[in-house]
Amino acid sequence: MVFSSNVFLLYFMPAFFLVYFLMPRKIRNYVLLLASLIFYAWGAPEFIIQLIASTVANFFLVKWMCKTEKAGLKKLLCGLSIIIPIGLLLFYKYGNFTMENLNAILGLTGHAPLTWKRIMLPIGISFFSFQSVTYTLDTYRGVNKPMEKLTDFVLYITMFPQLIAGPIIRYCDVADQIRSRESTMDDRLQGFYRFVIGLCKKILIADVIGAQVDAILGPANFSLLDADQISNIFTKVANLDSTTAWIVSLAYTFQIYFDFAGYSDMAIGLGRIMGFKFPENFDNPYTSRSITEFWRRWHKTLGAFIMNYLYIPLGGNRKGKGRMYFNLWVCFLLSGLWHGASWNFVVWGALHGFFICADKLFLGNVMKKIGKVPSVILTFLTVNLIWVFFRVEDFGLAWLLIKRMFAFDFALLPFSANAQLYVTMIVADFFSFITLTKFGQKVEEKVYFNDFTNGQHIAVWIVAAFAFVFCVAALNASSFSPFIYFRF
Amino acid sequence: MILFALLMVFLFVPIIQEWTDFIPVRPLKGVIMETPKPELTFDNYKSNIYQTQIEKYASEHFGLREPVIRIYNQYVWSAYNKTYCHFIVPGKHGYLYYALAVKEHFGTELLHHYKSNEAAMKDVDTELRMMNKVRHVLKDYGIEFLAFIAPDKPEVYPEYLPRCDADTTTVHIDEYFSHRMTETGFPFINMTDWFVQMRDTASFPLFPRTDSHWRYASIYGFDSLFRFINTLDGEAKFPTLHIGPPIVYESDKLEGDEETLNLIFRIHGDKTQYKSNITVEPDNTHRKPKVLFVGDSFIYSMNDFMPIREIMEDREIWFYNNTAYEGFDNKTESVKDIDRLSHILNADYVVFYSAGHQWWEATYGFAKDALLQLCVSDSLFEASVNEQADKFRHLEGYDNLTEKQLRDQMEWMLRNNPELIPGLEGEDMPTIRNTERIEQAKFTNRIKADKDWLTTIQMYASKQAISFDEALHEEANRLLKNESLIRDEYVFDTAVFIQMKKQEIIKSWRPNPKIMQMIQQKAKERKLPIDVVLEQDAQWVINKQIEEGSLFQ
Repeated sequence: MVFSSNVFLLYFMPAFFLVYFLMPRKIRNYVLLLASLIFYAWGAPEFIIQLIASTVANFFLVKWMCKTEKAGLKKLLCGLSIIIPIGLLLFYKYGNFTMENLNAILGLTGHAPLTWKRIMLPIGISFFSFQSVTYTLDTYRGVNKPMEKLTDFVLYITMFPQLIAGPIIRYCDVADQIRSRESTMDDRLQGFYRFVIGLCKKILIADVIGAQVDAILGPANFSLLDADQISNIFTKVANLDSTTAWIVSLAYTFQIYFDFAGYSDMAIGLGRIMGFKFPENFDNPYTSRSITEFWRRWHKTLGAFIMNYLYIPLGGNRKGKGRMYFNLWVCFLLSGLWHGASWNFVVWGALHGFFICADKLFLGNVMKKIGKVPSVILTFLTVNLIWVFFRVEDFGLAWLLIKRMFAFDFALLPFSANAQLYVTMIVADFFSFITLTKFGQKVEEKVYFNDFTNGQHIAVWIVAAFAFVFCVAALNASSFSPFIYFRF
Repeated sequence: MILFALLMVFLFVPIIQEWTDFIPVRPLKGVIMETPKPELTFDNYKSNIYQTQIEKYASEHFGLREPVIRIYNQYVWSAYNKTYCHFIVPGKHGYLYYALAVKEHFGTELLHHYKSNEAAMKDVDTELRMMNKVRHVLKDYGIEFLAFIAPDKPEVYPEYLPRCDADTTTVHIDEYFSHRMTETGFPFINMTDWFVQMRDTASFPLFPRTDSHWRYASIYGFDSLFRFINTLDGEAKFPTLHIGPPIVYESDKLEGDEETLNLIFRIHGDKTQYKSNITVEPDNTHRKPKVLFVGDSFIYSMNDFMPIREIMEDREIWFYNNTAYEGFDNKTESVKDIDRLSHILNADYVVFYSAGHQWWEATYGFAKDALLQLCVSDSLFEASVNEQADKFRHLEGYDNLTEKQLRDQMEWMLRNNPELIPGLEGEDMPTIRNTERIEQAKFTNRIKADKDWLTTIQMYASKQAISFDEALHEEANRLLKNESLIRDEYVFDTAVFIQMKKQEIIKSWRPNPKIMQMIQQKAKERKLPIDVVLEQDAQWVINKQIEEGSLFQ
């Protein structure tokens, strides 16, 4: 189940909150746990048992790890507890990728390919496996005590607001809130407002733009297309004028931001309704002045995870400059691979790693010297170009699109031909960069983080309710495409 | 606290509405393929089919769906001149066009059907050859077959079309058909040029701004068609019509396509509508004609604007040669399920009519099928299938088929290429006839024309639990073979008659969405299955007719 679906918005969410708030406080965690399991079982019926089994196993392994005095056994249990979720992640997410590459190598060396049954990727596996790891390591490092109740731990792993697409919540950030939390009326209302903001980002911006991107670039993965369809996509891209090619790449840049940030907003909002304070995941990433800054603002919880559980354990910057650059590269390569099991994601990660290293070497200083606006523009354009490799799995097509962007055969496109896309992109552009101004920062502070007066609550409530209705309308109107009614 | 309570109520409004319909809503217009309520089984759930279908089902049934969809439709329409309605293209100043007509206007529709002009023209020639053959055979039975090309809105009002890239190298299908029909002497009338000439002088719009079909102006099109038919050889003639000047009035009713956009507000404030008083000059020298129309939706306005009962004895429409609307009360059946030959032979005129852009599909398979029905007996068809099967049996691609598969393919091939059957080949007019079936069809029409005889056959069918057509067939066969008739043998049975009438009523309700919505509502209230409520209501009507004494009349 995804948040931007009718089943969630019109049935699951109202029913859940009604039951949740009608129940006494002591029982609410159980209600949330049950709802989370239903939520996950709805979307990944074949994986729910493995999810519960691995979570229960982790819980007892970590408990045992904390009880034992023997350092060797402690390490062994810690390792086992990490291997289970990471093993599941490797198997489910990278099984197909590994086999495809192995067969490619076998093919090159003249050997017969191996046969295997394709593995379906369970939703959310990338997120809950990382959360499981944070629990084990934070407990191992003594940052937090282990959970006492199994149900609390299963709840931490499976909590539905953040189960599918994050934010990646470190165990230490949320442990106390699971045990005890307050949900004021202000939290509940502001949580709803935040949820609606996320819903608008997803449905009114990302989905509208995404439909246009898909119309030109086709689906991200070509595996379901036949040769003719793939050839048509190539022809379409080869015939793009530079203006359209730039529009396509910029559209995707906005689509991915508003899609992902929207989902994070919805997760944070849902959590807040229940009294959880989930960490922020995005901080206006397109206003960054360098790629390094971009990664401090984009998918912050992933950045924090990589920093704490990969970069620092690898040695960070403590083992000399050469090692630091190597560590950064490895981190970004793996970050790319975490986003998807395909070489284009590796290239995407590698390019980011390259620019991070370049920042450290010289680029960071150059960006500082050229001033705020030019550095923001240059960083944005760089990110935009690199996103092409994220969106397009086929390198040939990605390269073709980039070539069209720099073919310099710009055309004047009539606004009316695709007005909805252009208006939506202007709106996306506005909200992506508004915090470059002081006024924008104030607006953001007010909307996202400040408490409202009663009068403000009423006004915002009405706006949020209308926006919610409008999002449901957008979600359904495009799928209601009637044929002309014949009048007999 | 109050706001939070209100929020919870707000979130529950759609569910409450879905269960209770407590807020009256304006229903959405248009036709969609409705998702059936998915069945929750373990297999469906495990394979995610249930989840996918329930999401779709929910999107079609949630409470307040109608106003919610109208809100967004209004937004995309007002802000971007855009609609999600299939096949409707918004033009400038609120003009609506039919997408395929727009493509035809810009010359891009051909490529959806053919790879080249030559391929398209070859198919037109074949189709027209078969139309001429059908016409030739029908003439033997005093029936005229002709064609009517209705105008396309983009041709008449091109200035409001959206900007599009035109392909000037492709052939326009209605133009090519017109050219070839003229050459081969097939009678036809093309309204396009006349409408284009008339547009600047007419005191009324030739097409409504928000409908891709013609409306009021169709009066002049149909009048021309009737006049044209009267110049042909048929015995029956249309009476002369006197069309009064346009009467302007206002109506809140939305015109066809605008209704399907499902907006909140009207596209424009102009509610002007037109009508004319049409008087029919009695003609005692000729009988009124029975007409079979085969074609598209451009015929609808004939019902709305013409006094059809006064100018025709009977009329039948085969919509896209798919759905048959029989008689003036539009009794609906599938064309493939009716005795097509008897229906064709019952007409004085068979008119194939279609808007210009629809001629890519001409004649929706009618000419092929009519040719087979009129000329090819079952035994000849069977022999032709055998002959073709023998030719293909050993060819690559066919050698691995079972006998049944091979014969199915041959049947399909012959139905699509009847000119492969001996006697129908080439340019010559066919000499063969499906004599026995034609005689039988004529008898069928004789029975149908006699009301008492028809009722007896209906009752017989009801009692024997066979279809009406089967019973009719049996009686026609008895006539053909000079055997004793059902009419003479059957004894009137009131219970059977009432049951038959009840079934007729139910059958006439089922295609009517308004009646069915009412029945569904009653079924919901009474907690009964829909079929039971249909039976109860039909019985109520019968009782009423018995009370009034109208049932047995």
